Amino acid sequence: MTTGTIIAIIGAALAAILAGIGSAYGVRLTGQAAAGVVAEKPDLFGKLLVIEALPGTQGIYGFLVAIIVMIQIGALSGNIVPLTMEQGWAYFCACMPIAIVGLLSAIYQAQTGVAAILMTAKEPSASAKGITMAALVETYAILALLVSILLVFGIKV
Amino acid sequence: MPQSSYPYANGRLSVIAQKMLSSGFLGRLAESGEADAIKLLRDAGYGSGAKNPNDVEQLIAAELSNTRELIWELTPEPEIIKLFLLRTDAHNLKTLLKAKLFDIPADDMMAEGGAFSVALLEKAVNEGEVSALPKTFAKAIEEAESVAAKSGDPGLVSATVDRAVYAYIFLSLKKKRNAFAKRYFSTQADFTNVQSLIRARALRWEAEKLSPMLVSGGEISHERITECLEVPAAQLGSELNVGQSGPAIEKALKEYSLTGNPGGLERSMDRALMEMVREGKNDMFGMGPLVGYLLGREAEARAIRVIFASKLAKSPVELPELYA
Repeated sequence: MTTGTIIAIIGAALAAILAGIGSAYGVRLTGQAAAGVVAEKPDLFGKLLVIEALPGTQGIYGFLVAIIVMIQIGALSGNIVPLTMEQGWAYFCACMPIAIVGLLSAIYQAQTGVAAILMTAKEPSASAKGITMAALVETYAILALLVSILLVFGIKV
Repeated sequence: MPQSSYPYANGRLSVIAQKMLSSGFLGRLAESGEADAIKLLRDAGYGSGAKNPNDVEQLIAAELSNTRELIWELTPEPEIIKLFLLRTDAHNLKTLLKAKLFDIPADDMMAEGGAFSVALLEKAVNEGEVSALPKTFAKAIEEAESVAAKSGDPGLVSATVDRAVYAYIFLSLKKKRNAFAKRYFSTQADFTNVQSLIRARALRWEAEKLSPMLVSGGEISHERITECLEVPAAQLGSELNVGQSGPAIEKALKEYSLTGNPGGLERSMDRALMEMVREGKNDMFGMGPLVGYLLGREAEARAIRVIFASKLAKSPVELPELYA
């Protein structure tokens, strides 16, 4: 295995790890707030579950980018491609948008999500507005995912 | 059992706090007859578990007890939330020390719901058993007893207890990164000192007599406060406009200079303190909502007492500042 290949694998791993950490932390925050509200108003469980799940998507995006990189470098088929240093760094850099934006946007989305959960607790009919507010933070995770995917597909192996 | 998470605590509280009594509800309470008012309170779920649901004091006691139990259950930082209960301990300590000074029973005047049990404080004052109390408190009891023996002045006993309580609060907060609690108690210390200054001016005290009455932890230095004994009343506000609570102090003192009513000054400061607590209402990752709920329920209890007292006295109601 070349150093270039190892650098590409580190990039893929970081995409999955950082975005995954952000999502786990985010879902933890929204989950705690939702649990608090549901303890008093069990009928709100369905509405709050959607908001709680929102920060979980960044982890999926990171996982997706990591899988695409692994497929491209042959890590899944067992025929690992010997990448040059330049190719390795190119994969590493391509993974960074979703790794970093995924980590941060999941945390910020969770904070908005907690506010939306409390708004729903006070006014259950406003849950759709709360979901929309929290979902808007997702835009930037989606943009980062797109950039990562386009960069990964643009690398010639 | 304390929770480890503010989002959980504040999530639960956001639902429970909706049951707090609004000023509109209290207005209806004030307009109703006594029996109807008690029924209104009971129907609103106030004071559930009270031994005698027809006695308003029992309803209030039950509601405050339920509130403290809930706060203990929810708070991730019991050692800080405890500081917000010390007002009751200060009252109990002062009562016990003064009762001992004048050799009268204190039982009827003791209040439940402090950070330390009434039995513990009684044991400390009456039997000298202070090992279960913080060192600051133990020292204060000793000092207050010595002050009482020397001067026989109950005012100095109260001041000794107040100083010990604030010293304990700021010692407890020293290693904590809790900006909300620090700001709250610092503002409260400033307000307490300004009120002491106003009393001292009215009684024409010298600086030497005012100094022992001042508590630590505020942003206004004790020197500045004692210097203000000589400042013309119209300039007091601008002289004491120091730190974060400065504008509120200036506003309260301006109102006071117009009315000359110390009760009004206290109400203005209570309003400013409650406003600060309200600012923390939406901080879902901090203790603001928990403290707001605790202090809000206490304010609500004061309002209910005022309403029922005014029914007895057949006088107009002036409600204290509410949280909800």
